[in-house]
Amino acid sequence: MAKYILRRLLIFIPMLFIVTIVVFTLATLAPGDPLTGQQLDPTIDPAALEERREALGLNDPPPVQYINWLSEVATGNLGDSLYFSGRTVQDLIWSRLPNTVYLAVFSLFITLVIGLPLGIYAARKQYTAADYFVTTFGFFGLAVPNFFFALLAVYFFSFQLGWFPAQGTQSSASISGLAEFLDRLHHLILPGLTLGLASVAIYMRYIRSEMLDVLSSDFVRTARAKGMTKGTVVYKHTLRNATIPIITLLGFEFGTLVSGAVVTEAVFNFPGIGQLFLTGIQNRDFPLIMGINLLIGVTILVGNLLADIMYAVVDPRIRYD
Amino acid sequence: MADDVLLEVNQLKTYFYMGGNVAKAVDGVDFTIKKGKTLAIVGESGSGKSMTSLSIMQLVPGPTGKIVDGAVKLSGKDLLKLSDKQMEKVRGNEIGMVFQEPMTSLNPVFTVGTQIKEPLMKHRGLSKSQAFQKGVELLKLVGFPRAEDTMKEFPHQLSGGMRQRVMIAIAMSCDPKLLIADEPTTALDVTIQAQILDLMKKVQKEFDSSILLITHDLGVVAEMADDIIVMYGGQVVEQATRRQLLKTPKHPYTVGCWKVCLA
Repeated sequence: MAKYILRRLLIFIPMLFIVTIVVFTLATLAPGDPLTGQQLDPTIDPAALEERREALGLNDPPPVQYINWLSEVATGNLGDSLYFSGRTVQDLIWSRLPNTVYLAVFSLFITLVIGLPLGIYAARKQYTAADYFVTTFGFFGLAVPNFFFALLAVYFFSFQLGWFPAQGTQSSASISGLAEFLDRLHHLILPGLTLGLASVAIYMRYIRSEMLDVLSSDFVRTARAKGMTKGTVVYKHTLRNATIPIITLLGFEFGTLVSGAVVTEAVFNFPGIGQLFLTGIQNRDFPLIMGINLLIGVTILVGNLLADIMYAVVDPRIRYD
Repeated sequence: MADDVLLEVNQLKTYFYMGGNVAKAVDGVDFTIKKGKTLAIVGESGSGKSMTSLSIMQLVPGPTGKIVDGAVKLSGKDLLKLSDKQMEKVRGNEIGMVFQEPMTSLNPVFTVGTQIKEPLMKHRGLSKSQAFQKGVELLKLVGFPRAEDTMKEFPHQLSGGMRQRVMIAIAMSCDPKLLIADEPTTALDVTIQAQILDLMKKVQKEFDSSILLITHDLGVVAEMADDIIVMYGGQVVEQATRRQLLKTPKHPYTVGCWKVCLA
């Protein structure tokens, strides 16, 4: 097992290199450069722009630019943001990352706590009214776009009922301790539910079909023939075998949770990575875009690594040495 | 009911309801199994042999399959009248079962030990360590020399024949009165088949239990059975002792079967 993890970590390094190449290439392939927008401004002298280009190294051939960028990245410096003047990219990311992580953890919690029990329930009651109801609810959840659900949530629960704040992460910076935690949680509920409920349907349908598959397998019949209770059969013998696709899903989700909340964060004016990413794109802030892309790439790699390790933990047949 | 009868099946009917159609998988089956004896059910695929055995265990695959009528009396107690909870105490405890597919019949994510300990802890109320000891004994009985190590192994580390031995050990773990073996040797190669049949005879002697053997292999029947019933289309077409049936089969279907077998 240790050998396997070590080997996976070694594979991690070349993959990380490939991620940096892709991130850099995509940024260079995009039309224009960080100064393109300013060319339209008649008060700026084109010669001065050209001078800045030269100073920023934007006229160097791409491989040289890549090496320069990479050597800075290797030391932990992701560069200066062009839009947020005077701030480094890593500084901006660090200031937003906690909010996004809270949101991600909370929404994932919602997804799992609602999605998995519903899916298991639907599988146990296959072809009953309850199963049809849950499945229909699942399609509904898949069909309603995230932003629409977010807007509805803001309209009903913030404006009409006034139960939850419509935006932000805190109502006041002066509180601390438990009060601060509860206040943050209060702000998290609407965006967290929006984000979490969107994935509920996916997890629910996965676990339902997987449970049905496993429930009809021979070893489940053996467990029943041994006189095991329904609970033991479902939660011990079936569930563990049915979690493997869920682990795959979680591995992917891990990366998208950091990046995937762009729309939700925008609707709730939630200062997280997604919103920062959007600002970066709108303002051609190349260092910021590349920094966040790199972060997303790394989280996806880490997510897959964790998923691979989890496979081996859950299923003893999976041994990679 | 006579004293020496262990299991009595009366007019058992198990139907499958699919889209308005009714498939009568078991259609009015009667038979009895005597204590310490082996009854073989023979018949072609789809004749209802397996469904008969699953009906006795009440493991008919739902929700389409249903036991619609009949009685299954184990030592005089009608199993079909028991609640789900009561039936859980019969399965694995009073009736053990071995299935056709040893490769898929054990749970791949649990060790052999975990799976053999489960019925012992549930039905016999043994502690974990007692169940482990008993498990080791059982595995030794079914022919695992290094039983302590085998307890810690996963099913995928064992061959098909070894897995079927484990299944027999699990089925016999709680000293059941009846062992149902649903084509226990069909998926195994010939030499392993002989070993498994010998093993079943051995445990039958050891535990003084009756066996309900389901098979389409007449060689196995000739080797193992005391009594034989022949099933066709969900019904029993002939019932006799082994000697009678092998020497003077009466029903034309049985005669046909024998001809095919001897050809």
